[in-house]
Amino acid sequence: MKTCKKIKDVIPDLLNPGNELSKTEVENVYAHLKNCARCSETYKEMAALKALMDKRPHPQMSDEFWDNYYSRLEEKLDAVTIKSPGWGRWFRGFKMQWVLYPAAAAAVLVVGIAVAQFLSLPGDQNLLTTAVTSIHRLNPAVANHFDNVQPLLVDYSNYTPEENNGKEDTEIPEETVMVGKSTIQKLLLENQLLKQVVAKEDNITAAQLIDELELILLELKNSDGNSKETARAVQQLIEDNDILFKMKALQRKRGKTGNI
Amino acid sequence: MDLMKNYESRLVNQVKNGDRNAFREIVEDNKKKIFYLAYDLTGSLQDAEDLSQDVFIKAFRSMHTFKGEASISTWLYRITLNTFLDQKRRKSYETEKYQHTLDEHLAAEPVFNGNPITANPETYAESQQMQMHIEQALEHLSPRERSVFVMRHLQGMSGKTVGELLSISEGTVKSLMSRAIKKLQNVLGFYKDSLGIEVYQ
Repeated sequence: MKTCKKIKDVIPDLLNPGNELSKTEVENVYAHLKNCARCSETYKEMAALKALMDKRPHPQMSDEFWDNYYSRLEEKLDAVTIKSPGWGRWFRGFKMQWVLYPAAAAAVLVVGIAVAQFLSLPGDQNLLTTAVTSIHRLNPAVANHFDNVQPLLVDYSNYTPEENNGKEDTEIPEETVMVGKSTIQKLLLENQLLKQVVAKEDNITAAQLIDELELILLELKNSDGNSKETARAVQQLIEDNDILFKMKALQRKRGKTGNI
Repeated sequence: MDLMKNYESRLVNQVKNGDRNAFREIVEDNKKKIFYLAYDLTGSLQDAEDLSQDVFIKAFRSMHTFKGEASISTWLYRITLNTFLDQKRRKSYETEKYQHTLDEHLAAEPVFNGNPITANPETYAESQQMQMHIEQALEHLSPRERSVFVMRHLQGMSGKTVGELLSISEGTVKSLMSRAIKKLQNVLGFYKDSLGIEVYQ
């Protein structure tokens, strides 16, 4: 009886040409099958099932399908940004023009207002007004940009490297921060564009913050964004420069004055 | 063997350093294996495409956890099985059963017994029906039963290897396998006689 159970477990191996059974094992199984009607029947049934399964051939895919497999994959890979709740889902629908158009509009407005102020006010008053407006306003395009970068910074700031206890884990630990190169590229471009906008606005705090963000984004762009070393370096930059605090402080000024 | 290991560990290190070309090489080497394994598991070409690509994305993102104890393909197999089971648990793969329209677009000319199907339309119709029955039968299996059955019966792996891949004991592999076989035999039993199986040598 015990042998019968063992034989049953071995039959799938027997039916596979590349099995790992030794010659003796194979001979023993066949010897048992010859003398045991029940196991012989089991073998027949399993062989029938195997033969049936072999009639389910793998569909042959076109050369084009295989040739383009990687490019399809790469598109998805670029779309995946960070494995953290919210961020990946949030960024999927992101389009560059959402930032470019408001940024361009804001830049035109800023220049226009600056020119108007310059023309209408005497020197000292002009400076004062600029200083006051810069304290109270945050350009919406810049505010949006901060919104875009913030979740990434929060993730890096919360990053706690954990050892895998030597196991090859197929799951990425939730704490690990992952950023796609294309995301970084987009944020960097957005950052560089807005750098010019805030420079024109004389918003010194925002300008400094954007400079510091540039350092972080460049660090991510030039290194492997997935490595622990990068994560630690970025975390350090965020902490040393109080980036998140400054960002929150600036974001509070958004919308108070309404336009720009 | 050592050569292969060196080659793989070089590729893995390059990917760890952000080299997309090295990653592409890994994908090119393994895409067919992983795609067809995903097809066996999901029974649909569209799901096979999605699952296999999810596997490569996961592999890319967790390359830093790969320590070279197993080969890349074994590691990818493990990711495939885990991702499949995980997605089944979350029910994100709502397979549209027997929906062949999309699949027909994806597939090149289907083949039956090595010949293009159009060469023999009647046999094709029969084989289509049989294949549909097989797919239906496989749908009766739980994700774990299907995983074990696919790896053991279709991929020809030993019970020990399958156990290692799924992180379950060999005993569990055996019981899952025997449950899977029983279910399939119940559903597909009527084909048994028509196949004309000769008993062993």
